[in-house]
Amino acid sequence: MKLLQKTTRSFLWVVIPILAFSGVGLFFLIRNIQQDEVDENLQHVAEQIAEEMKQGAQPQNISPIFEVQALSADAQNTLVFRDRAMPDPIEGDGELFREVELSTHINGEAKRLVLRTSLVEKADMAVAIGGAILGVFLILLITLLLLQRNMNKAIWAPFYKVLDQMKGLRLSQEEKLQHAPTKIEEFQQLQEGVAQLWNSAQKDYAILKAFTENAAHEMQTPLAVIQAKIELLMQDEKLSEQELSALEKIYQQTHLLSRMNKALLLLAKIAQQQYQPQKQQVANSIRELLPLYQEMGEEKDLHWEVELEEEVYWMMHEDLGKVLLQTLLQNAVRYTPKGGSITLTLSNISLQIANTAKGEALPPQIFERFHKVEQHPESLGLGLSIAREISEAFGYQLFYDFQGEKHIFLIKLA
Amino acid sequence: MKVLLVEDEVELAADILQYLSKEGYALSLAKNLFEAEDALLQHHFDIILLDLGLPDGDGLSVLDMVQSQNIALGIIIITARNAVEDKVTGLEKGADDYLTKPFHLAELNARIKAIIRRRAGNEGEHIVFQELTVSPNHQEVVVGDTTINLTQREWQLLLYFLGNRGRVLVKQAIADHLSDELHESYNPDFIYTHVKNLRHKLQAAGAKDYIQSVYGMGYKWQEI
Repeated sequence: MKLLQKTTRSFLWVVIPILAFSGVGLFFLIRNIQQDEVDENLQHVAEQIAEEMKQGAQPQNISPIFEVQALSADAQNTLVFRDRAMPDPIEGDGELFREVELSTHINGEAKRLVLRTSLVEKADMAVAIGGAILGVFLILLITLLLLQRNMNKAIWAPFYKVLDQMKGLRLSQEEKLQHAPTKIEEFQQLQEGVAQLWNSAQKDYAILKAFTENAAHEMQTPLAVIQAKIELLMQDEKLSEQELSALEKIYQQTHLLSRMNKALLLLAKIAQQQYQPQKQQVANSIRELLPLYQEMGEEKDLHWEVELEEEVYWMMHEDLGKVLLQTLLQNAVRYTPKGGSITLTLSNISLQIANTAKGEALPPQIFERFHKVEQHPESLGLGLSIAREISEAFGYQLFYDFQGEKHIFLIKLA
Repeated sequence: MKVLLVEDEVELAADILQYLSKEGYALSLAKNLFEAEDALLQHHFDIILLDLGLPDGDGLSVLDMVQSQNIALGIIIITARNAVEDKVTGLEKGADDYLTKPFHLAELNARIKAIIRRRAGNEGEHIVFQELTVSPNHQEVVVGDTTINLTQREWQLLLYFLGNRGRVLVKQAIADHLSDELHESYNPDFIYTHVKNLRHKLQAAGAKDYIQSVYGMGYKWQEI
């Protein structure tokens, strides 16, 4: 739930019951006042008629609004108000009246005067008043709501700005935080806190980046010297076979070290998000690489089934995309037994590379660093972990599956 | 052919110079940016081998100098920097090639020759080695009257061997050369097939067997 929703909702929870209660209360209050007014009026007229009768007037019954009756002499003097439904003399149906019944003695005779007034118009009045109250309250509610929302929006604006910026931050890009000015102390503290956090993260990132790059680069130079020395030494014709063989081993290991160094640097750079994605046509990238691997497979008589859908794109760094495809293709060629087949299927859902298996399903650890499936001297055990980290860095998932005696590597594209 | 090596790592510089000395180039060494610029102002060079991380600055500034002064020469960047941006910048600033350390000396040698060939244009059309006549511009090898039909790989391999005559070439170096700098290189055993085919085709056309195996570790193009 959003902050604004939450505050609006709590506001409504408080305001609506208050408005409802006070609206209903006001309605009844006005109605009671109106009723008292009616009663007072009726009583006043009845007393006036009684006074006129004392002077000798002889009023006639006018149904239903006036009746006069004679009572037995011992009747008490009373004054009673009540509601009564009476047939309307004109329209004929039942109508609600308010009546006053005044029992009094006029010139020694006990009389009962009944005076009625229709409540229909009064009810219309009550409805009108109620409607007016409701209307005013609705306007009030909406105004308050808008006011509260706008105020909240204005107050929380610096907060949202900080939030937006934090979402967009990438350590790989040197960015400075831009804060909206605010006088609210809590927000100032938040901005300061975030800025501090960001600065220290950037500093750490720069240190880490420099370290990995230095470590990798500075190591390449001594490796280059070793490799050059071996290459020169090998040209010496006086060397024995044994010496040459030892030299070759040293050369191989140096080469391995250098490749490992490059691979680890690549992993570090991926983790540091130093690569920006671009839209790439997957089929193109595959076609660019495929001939080399098909050529490598010729020796083993590999059978290729390639089915590439053209209009499939991924958001990927160009070189890393190649590294990813190369790793999967190279593994397929390397581990498919003689005469086996490799199936390459690209659809807009996934890219799938399947190859005939020599043995059983591979363990899940294949994606871990330095995990080696078999003893392959030229294998670093880093290929698949690089492949997985590349996929994930750009939001794709790389899966392994074993089906029908085939190793299947699948990159989910959608 | 005058070659200037700009490299601050003395040991590596000595090895490169030693390897290249057999090619008959006039070699000079500059150990920093200052010496490099100084040498460029005083002499004419055909090729510069340029390290980027120099003690007194970035080797890329040599490229700026070469560009601004309109000096016509071939430039190969040799660096420990593996970043794609550096490579792009280097090539944009007029470098002909980019080699990442560590590299094989034989590879450096082959690249120098490729640049020399490219710069020579039609003049450098033929490489003649005994009964072999090789025309890189047309990808053509002739033995006597026979033109040999080579695959792309065999062709690459032949030029590589001819560029590094009389040197022991480890399988890994050959594999790396054929792999176009892929992150994971060719399986070195795989080049065996290509070498075998090349040898076979050359001999079938009547050439001698110049390619010798060196104790299973590599090959050598040996004058007989």
